[in-house]
Amino acid sequence: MNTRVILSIILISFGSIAAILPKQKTSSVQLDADDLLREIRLETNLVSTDELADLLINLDPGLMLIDVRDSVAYSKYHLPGAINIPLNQLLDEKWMPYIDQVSKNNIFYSNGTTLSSEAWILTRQLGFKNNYVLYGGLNRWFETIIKPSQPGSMATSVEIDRFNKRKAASLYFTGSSGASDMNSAPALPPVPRKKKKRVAGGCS
Amino acid sequence: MKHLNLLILGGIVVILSIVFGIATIKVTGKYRFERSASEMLERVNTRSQYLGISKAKDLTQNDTVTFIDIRTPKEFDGYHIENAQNIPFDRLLDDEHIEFLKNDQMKVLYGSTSVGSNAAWMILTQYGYDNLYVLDGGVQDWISEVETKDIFRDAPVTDEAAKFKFTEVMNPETN
Repeated sequence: MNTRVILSIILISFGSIAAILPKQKTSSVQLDADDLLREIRLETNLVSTDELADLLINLDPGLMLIDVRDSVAYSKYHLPGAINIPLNQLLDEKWMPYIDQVSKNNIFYSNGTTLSSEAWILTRQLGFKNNYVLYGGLNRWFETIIKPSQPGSMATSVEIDRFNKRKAASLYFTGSSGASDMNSAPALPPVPRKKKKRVAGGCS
Repeated sequence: MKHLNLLILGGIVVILSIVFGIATIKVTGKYRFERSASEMLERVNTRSQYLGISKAKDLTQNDTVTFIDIRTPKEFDGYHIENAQNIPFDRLLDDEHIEFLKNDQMKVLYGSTSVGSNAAWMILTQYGYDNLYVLDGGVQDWISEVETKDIFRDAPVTDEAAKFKFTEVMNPETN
Protein backbone atom coordinates (compact mmCIF):
# COMPACT_ATOMS: atom_id res chain seq x y z
CA MET A 1 0.00 0.00 0.00
CA ASN A 2 1.06 3.56 -0.59
CA THR A 3 2.96 5.09 2.39
CA ARG A 4 0.94 8.25 1.99
CA VAL A 5 -2.32 6.37 2.44
CA ILE A 6 -1.01 4.60 5.56
CA LEU A 7 0.12 7.90 7.06
CA SER A 8 -3.23 9.51 6.31
CA ILE A 9 -5.02 6.64 8.01
CA ILE A 10 -2.80 7.05 11.10
CA LEU A 11 -3.42 10.80 11.23
CA ILE A 12 -7.16 10.42 10.78
CA SER A 13 -7.37 7.80 13.50
CA PHE A 14 -5.45 10.08 15.90
CA GLY A 15 -7.86 12.83 15.00
CA SER A 16 -10.89 10.70 15.73
CA ILE A 17 -9.43 9.54 19.07
CA ALA A 18 -8.86 13.16 20.01
CA ALA A 19 -12.45 13.95 19.06
CA ILE A 20 -13.85 11.10 21.17
CA LEU A 21 -11.79 11.91 24.29
CA PRO A 22 -13.83 13.63 27.04
CA LYS A 23 -13.64 17.38 27.12
CA GLN A 24 -11.18 18.58 29.74
CA LYS A 25 -12.24 21.58 31.78
CA THR A 26 -9.46 24.12 31.60
CA SER A 27 -10.42 25.67 34.94
CA SER A 28 -10.06 22.58 37.07
CA VAL A 29 -6.81 21.08 38.11
CA GLN A 30 -7.80 17.59 39.18
CA LEU A 31 -7.42 17.26 42.94
CA ASP A 32 -7.39 14.05 44.91
CA ALA A 33 -8.41 13.18 48.47
CA ASP A 34 -4.87 13.64 49.75
CA ASP A 35 -4.58 17.20 48.33
CA LEU A 36 -7.90 18.13 49.90
CA LEU A 37 -6.89 16.69 53.28
CA ARG A 38 -3.67 18.72 53.23
CA GLU A 39 -5.43 21.97 52.31
CA ILE A 40 -7.98 21.55 55.10
CA ARG A 41 -5.29 20.71 57.65
CA LEU A 42 -3.27 23.83 56.72
CA GLU A 43 -6.47 25.91 57.16
CA THR A 44 -5.51 28.21 54.30
CA ASN A 45 -9.20 28.32 53.35
CA LEU A 46 -10.29 29.97 56.59
CA VAL A 47 -10.92 33.70 57.01
CA SER A 48 -11.33 35.06 60.55
CA THR A 49 -14.13 37.41 61.56
CA ASP A 50 -11.50 40.11 62.26
CA GLU A 51 -10.10 39.75 58.74
CA LEU A 52 -13.61 39.96 57.28
CA ALA A 53 -14.38 43.10 59.32
CA ASP A 54 -11.25 44.73 57.82
CA LEU A 55 -12.28 43.74 54.29
CA LEU A 56 -15.81 45.12 54.74
CA ILE A 57 -14.68 48.38 56.37
CA ASN A 58 -12.14 48.96 53.60
CA LEU A 59 -14.86 48.21 51.02
CA ASP A 60 -12.51 45.70 49.39
CA PRO A 61 -13.62 45.50 45.75
CA GLY A 62 -12.37 41.92 45.41
CA LEU A 63 -14.66 40.62 48.15
CA MET A 64 -17.76 38.55 47.44
CA LEU A 65 -19.71 37.21 50.42
CA ILE A 66 -21.81 34.14 49.74
CA ASP A 67 -24.49 33.13 52.25
CA VAL A 68 -25.04 29.37 51.85
CA ARG A 69 -27.98 29.14 54.28
CA ASP A 70 -31.53 28.80 52.97
CA SER A 71 -33.36 31.81 51.54
CA VAL A 72 -35.54 32.27 54.65
CA ALA A 73 -32.51 32.67 56.93
CA TYR A 74 -30.86 34.93 54.34
CA SER A 75 -33.85 37.24 54.01
CA LYS A 76 -34.11 37.61 57.80
CA TYR A 77 -30.49 38.65 58.16
CA HIS A 78 -27.35 38.58 56.03
CA LEU A 79 -23.98 40.25 56.05
CA PRO A 80 -23.60 43.54 54.09
CA GLY A 81 -23.39 42.92 50.34
CA ALA A 82 -23.78 39.13 50.61
CA ILE A 83 -25.54 37.14 47.92
CA ASN A 84 -27.52 33.99 48.69
CA ILE A 85 -26.56 30.62 47.20
CA PRO A 86 -28.31 27.98 49.34
CA LEU A 87 -26.04 24.95 49.73
CA ASN A 88 -28.50 22.61 48.01
CA GLN A 89 -28.36 24.80 44.88
CA LEU A 90 -24.59 25.32 44.95
CA LEU A 91 -23.85 23.28 41.83
CA ASP A 92 -26.70 24.71 39.74
CA GLU A 93 -25.51 26.01 36.39
CA LYS A 94 -26.65 29.58 37.15
CA TRP A 95 -24.21 29.91 40.07
CA MET A 96 -21.15 28.69 38.18
CA PRO A 97 -20.08 32.22 37.13
CA TYR A 98 -19.98 33.09 40.85
CA ILE A 99 -18.15 30.08 42.26
CA ASP A 100 -15.84 29.30 39.33
CA GLN A 101 -14.12 32.57 38.51
CA VAL A 102 -10.83 34.39 38.92
CA SER A 103 -11.80 38.02 39.53
CA LYS A 104 -13.15 37.91 43.12
CA ASN A 105 -12.41 36.25 46.45
CA ASN A 106 -15.55 34.47 47.60
CA ILE A 107 -16.14 33.92 51.29
CA PHE A 108 -18.77 31.30 52.09
CA TYR A 109 -20.57 31.70 55.39
CA SER A 110 -23.40 30.10 57.39
CA ASN A 111 -24.43 30.22 61.06
CA GLY A 112 -21.53 27.95 62.05
CA THR A 113 -18.70 26.49 59.99
CA THR A 114 -20.40 23.30 58.75
CA LEU A 115 -22.44 24.37 55.71
CA SER A 116 -19.74 26.79 54.54
CA SER A 117 -17.02 24.12 54.82
CA GLU A 118 -19.18 21.69 52.86
CA ALA A 119 -19.63 24.29 50.13
CA TRP A 120 -15.88 24.90 50.07
CA ILE A 121 -14.98 21.18 49.90
CA LEU A 122 -17.38 20.67 46.98
CA THR A 123 -15.99 23.62 44.99
CA ARG A 124 -12.46 22.50 45.75
CA GLN A 125 -13.24 18.96 44.58
CA LEU A 126 -14.22 20.58 41.27
CA GLY A 127 -10.88 22.40 41.20
CA PHE A 128 -12.33 25.91 41.65
CA LYS A 129 -10.11 28.52 43.25
CA ASN A 130 -10.66 31.83 45.08
CA ASN A 131 -13.20 30.40 47.54
CA TYR A 132 -12.82 30.75 51.32
CA VAL A 133 -14.75 29.99 54.51
CA LEU A 134 -15.69 32.42 57.29
CA TYR A 135 -14.40 30.60 60.37
CA GLY A 136 -17.14 30.39 63.01
CA GLY A 137 -19.74 31.93 60.68
CA LEU A 138 -22.41 34.39 61.80
CA ASN A 139 -22.32 33.07 65.38
CA ARG A 140 -18.66 34.03 65.71
CA TRP A 141 -19.24 37.27 63.79
CA PHE A 142 -21.77 38.35 66.41
CA GLU A 143 -19.68 37.06 69.34
CA THR A 144 -16.48 38.80 68.25
CA ILE A 145 -17.43 41.81 66.09
CA ILE A 146 -21.01 42.90 66.82
CA LYS A 147 -20.94 42.11 70.56
CA PRO A 148 -17.25 41.84 71.47
CA SER A 149 -16.62 40.88 75.10
CA GLN A 150 -14.50 43.13 77.29
CA PRO A 151 -11.12 41.55 78.07
CA GLY A 152 -10.52 40.74 81.74
CA SER A 153 -8.10 42.55 84.07
CA MET A 154 -5.33 40.11 83.17
CA ALA A 155 -5.62 40.90 79.45
CA THR A 156 -2.47 41.55 77.45
CA SER A 157 -2.06 44.74 75.42
CA VAL A 158 -2.64 42.68 72.26
CA GLU A 159 -6.01 41.54 73.60
CA ILE A 160 -6.95 45.09 74.61
CA ASP A 161 -5.94 46.44 71.18
CA ARG A 162 -8.00 43.76 69.51
CA PHE A 163 -11.01 44.55 71.70
CA ASN A 164 -10.77 48.28 70.88
CA LYS A 165 -10.57 47.49 67.19
CA ARG A 166 -13.58 45.18 67.43
CA LYS A 167 -15.53 47.79 69.38
CA ALA A 168 -14.88 50.31 66.60
CA ALA A 169 -15.88 47.75 63.98
CA SER A 170 -19.06 47.01 65.95
CA LEU A 171 -19.97 50.72 65.89
CA TYR A 172 -19.30 50.78 62.15
CA PHE A 173 -21.62 47.82 61.49
CA THR A 174 -24.40 48.69 63.96
CA GLY A 175 -24.10 52.49 63.78
CA SER A 176 -26.24 54.67 61.55
CA SER A 177 -28.76 52.55 59.68
CA GLY A 178 -28.34 54.72 56.56
CA ALA A 179 -24.76 53.63 56.07
CA SER A 180 -25.54 49.96 56.50
CA ASP A 181 -28.42 50.17 54.04
CA MET A 182 -26.01 51.55 51.50
CA ASN A 183 -23.77 48.54 51.91
CA SER A 184 -26.41 45.88 51.99
CA ALA A 185 -27.28 45.82 48.29
CA PRO A 186 -26.22 42.45 46.88
CA ALA A 187 -23.09 42.58 44.77
CA LEU A 188 -23.19 42.19 41.03
CA PRO A 189 -21.98 38.92 39.53
CA PRO A 190 -18.30 38.77 38.68
CA VAL A 191 -17.10 38.73 35.10
CA PRO A 192 -17.59 35.17 33.83
CA ARG A 193 -14.49 33.24 32.82
CA LYS A 194 -15.57 33.02 29.22
CA LYS A 195 -17.31 36.04 27.83
CA LYS A 196 -20.26 35.21 25.68
CA LYS A 197 -20.42 37.06 22.43
CA ARG A 198 -22.84 39.93 22.49
CA VAL A 199 -25.71 39.45 20.07
CA ALA A 200 -25.14 41.83 17.21
CA GLY A 201 -27.77 43.68 15.21
CA GLY A 202 -31.42 44.22 16.09
CA CYS A 203 -33.18 47.55 16.29
CA SER A 204 -32.55 50.03 19.08
CA MET B 1 8.25 13.09 -2.91
CA LYS B 2 8.27 16.54 -1.30
CA HIS B 3 4.64 16.02 -0.22
CA LEU B 4 5.52 12.71 1.40
CA ASN B 5 8.31 14.33 3.45
CA LEU B 6 5.93 17.00 4.72
CA LEU B 7 3.42 14.35 5.62
CA ILE B 8 6.00 12.37 7.59
CA LEU B 9 7.14 15.53 9.36
CA GLY B 10 3.53 16.33 10.22
CA GLY B 11 3.01 12.82 11.53
CA ILE B 12 6.08 13.06 13.77
CA VAL B 13 4.88 16.39 15.18
CA VAL B 14 1.44 14.94 15.96
CA ILE B 15 2.91 11.86 17.67
CA LEU B 16 5.35 13.98 19.70
CA SER B 17 2.60 16.29 20.89
CA ILE B 18 0.44 13.33 21.94
CA VAL B 19 3.38 11.79 23.84
CA PHE B 20 4.00 15.16 25.52
CA GLY B 21 0.32 15.47 26.44
CA ILE B 22 0.24 12.01 28.04
CA ALA B 23 3.48 12.65 29.91
CA THR B 24 2.17 15.84 31.52
CA ILE B 25 -1.16 14.41 32.75
CA LYS B 26 -1.10 14.52 36.53
CA VAL B 27 -1.09 11.05 37.98
CA THR B 28 -3.81 11.02 40.65
CA GLY B 29 -4.25 7.26 40.83
CA LYS B 30 -3.99 6.53 44.51
CA TYR B 31 -6.37 8.98 46.15
CA ARG B 32 -8.72 9.67 43.24
CA PHE B 33 -12.27 10.75 44.18
CA GLU B 34 -14.81 8.02 43.54
CA ARG B 35 -17.88 10.22 43.90
CA SER B 36 -18.67 13.36 41.95
CA ALA B 37 -19.36 16.72 43.60
CA SER B 38 -23.07 16.53 42.73
CA GLU B 39 -23.38 13.04 44.23
CA MET B 40 -21.69 14.40 47.35
CA LEU B 41 -24.04 17.38 47.50
CA GLU B 42 -27.03 15.00 47.44
CA ARG B 43 -25.57 13.03 50.34
CA VAL B 44 -24.69 16.17 52.28
CA ASN B 45 -28.25 17.45 51.92
CA THR B 46 -29.73 14.34 53.54
CA ARG B 47 -27.65 15.00 56.70
CA SER B 48 -27.87 11.28 57.38
CA GLN B 49 -24.21 11.13 58.45
CA TYR B 50 -24.95 12.91 61.74
CA LEU B 51 -25.49 11.01 64.97
CA GLY B 52 -26.88 12.77 68.02
CA ILE B 53 -25.18 12.32 71.39
CA SER B 54 -27.82 10.02 72.93
CA LYS B 55 -27.92 7.71 69.92
CA ALA B 56 -24.12 7.62 69.87
CA LYS B 57 -24.08 6.78 73.58
CA ASP B 58 -26.21 3.71 72.90
CA LEU B 59 -23.78 2.66 70.19
CA THR B 60 -20.83 2.63 72.60
CA GLN B 61 -22.36 -0.62 73.97
CA ASN B 62 -22.19 -2.17 70.50
CA ASP B 63 -18.94 -4.08 69.87
CA THR B 64 -19.21 -3.79 66.08
CA VAL B 65 -19.18 0.02 66.18
CA THR B 66 -15.84 1.83 66.42
CA PHE B 67 -15.45 5.42 67.50
CA ILE B 68 -12.62 7.23 65.73
CA ASP B 69 -11.06 10.25 67.40
CA ILE B 70 -9.55 12.55 64.73
CA ARG B 71 -7.92 14.97 67.18
CA THR B 72 -4.19 15.04 67.95
CA PRO B 73 -2.67 12.22 70.08
CA LYS B 74 -2.18 14.77 72.89
CA GLU B 75 -5.87 15.70 72.92
CA PHE B 76 -6.76 12.02 72.68
CA ASP B 77 -4.60 11.20 75.72
CA GLY B 78 -6.25 14.02 77.66
CA TYR B 79 -9.75 12.64 77.16
CA HIS B 80 -11.40 10.27 74.74
CA ILE B 81 -14.58 8.27 74.37
CA GLU B 82 -14.19 4.79 75.83
CA ASN B 83 -12.62 2.27 73.42
CA ALA B 84 -12.18 4.93 70.74
CA GLN B 85 -9.25 4.71 68.35
CA ASN B 86 -7.08 7.71 67.58
CA ILE B 87 -6.52 8.48 63.90
CA PRO B 88 -5.46 12.14 63.70
CA PHE B 89 -7.04 14.08 60.82
CA ASP B 90 -3.80 14.39 58.84
CA ARG B 91 -3.15 10.63 59.05
CA LEU B 92 -6.58 9.54 57.78
CA LEU B 93 -5.30 8.46 54.37
CA ASP B 94 -2.20 6.66 55.66
CA ASP B 95 -1.96 3.09 54.36
CA GLU B 96 -2.19 1.51 57.82
CA HIS B 97 -5.48 3.28 58.59
CA ILE B 98 -7.15 3.23 55.24
CA GLU B 99 -7.50 -0.58 55.25
CA PHE B 100 -9.11 -0.49 58.69
CA LEU B 101 -11.46 2.36 57.77
CA LYS B 102 -12.48 0.53 54.61
CA ASN B 103 -14.09 -2.54 56.24
CA ASP B 104 -17.86 -2.69 56.43
CA GLN B 105 -18.25 -2.11 60.15
CA MET B 106 -19.85 1.11 61.30
CA LYS B 107 -17.46 3.84 62.36
CA VAL B 108 -18.27 7.10 64.11
CA LEU B 109 -15.85 9.96 63.48
CA TYR B 110 -15.53 12.65 66.12
CA GLY B 111 -13.39 15.70 66.90
CA SER B 112 -13.67 18.65 69.28
CA THR B 113 -16.75 19.85 67.38
CA SER B 114 -18.32 18.26 64.32
CA VAL B 115 -16.70 20.58 61.76
CA GLY B 116 -13.41 18.67 61.39
CA SER B 117 -15.02 15.25 61.58
CA ASN B 118 -17.55 16.27 58.94
CA ALA B 119 -14.68 17.35 56.65
CA ALA B 120 -13.07 13.94 57.31
CA TRP B 121 -16.38 12.27 56.51
CA MET B 122 -16.64 14.22 53.24
CA ILE B 123 -13.12 13.35 52.12
CA LEU B 124 -13.49 9.64 52.92
CA THR B 125 -16.97 9.48 51.38
CA GLN B 126 -15.75 11.25 48.23
CA TYR B 127 -13.00 8.65 48.25
CA GLY B 128 -15.68 5.94 48.16
CA TYR B 129 -16.44 4.85 51.74
CA ASP B 130 -19.96 4.15 52.96
CA ASN B 131 -19.75 3.07 56.57
CA LEU B 132 -18.86 6.35 58.28
CA TYR B 133 -20.85 8.66 60.55
CA VAL B 134 -20.19 11.95 62.35
CA LEU B 135 -20.79 12.60 66.04
CA ASP B 136 -22.82 15.82 66.16
CA GLY B 137 -21.39 18.34 68.62
CA GLY B 138 -18.14 16.39 69.04
CA VAL B 139 -16.31 15.84 72.32
CA GLN B 140 -17.36 19.28 73.58
CA ASP B 141 -21.05 18.36 73.64
CA TRP B 142 -20.28 14.77 74.65
CA ILE B 143 -18.57 15.98 77.83
CA SER B 144 -21.25 18.53 78.69
CA GLU B 145 -23.90 15.89 77.76
CA VAL B 146 -25.78 18.39 75.62
CA GLU B 147 -28.89 16.77 74.20
CA THR B 148 -28.92 17.78 70.54
CA LYS B 149 -32.36 16.53 69.55
CA ASP B 150 -34.12 19.86 70.09
CA ILE B 151 -31.56 21.81 68.14
CA PHE B 152 -32.10 19.55 65.13
CA ARG B 153 -35.55 21.07 64.68
CA ASP B 154 -34.25 24.35 63.28
CA ALA B 155 -30.66 23.55 62.30
CA PRO B 156 -29.13 20.66 60.39
CA VAL B 157 -26.36 20.32 63.00
CA THR B 158 -25.57 21.80 66.38
CA ASP B 159 -22.76 23.85 64.83
CA GLU B 160 -25.29 25.57 62.57
CA ALA B 161 -27.78 26.50 65.30
CA ALA B 162 -27.99 30.30 65.51
CA LYS B 163 -26.74 31.56 68.87
CA PHE B 164 -28.31 35.00 68.42
CA LYS B 165 -31.48 36.46 67.00
CA PHE B 166 -29.45 38.27 64.36
CA THR B 167 -32.20 40.66 63.26
CA GLU B 168 -33.05 41.73 66.80
CA VAL B 169 -29.42 42.35 67.70
CA MET B 170 -28.97 44.51 64.61
CA ASN B 171 -32.25 46.45 64.97
CA PRO B 172 -32.99 46.67 68.70
CA GLU B 173 -35.36 49.66 68.28
CA THR B 174 -37.86 47.70 66.16
CA ASN B 175 -38.67 45.30 69.01
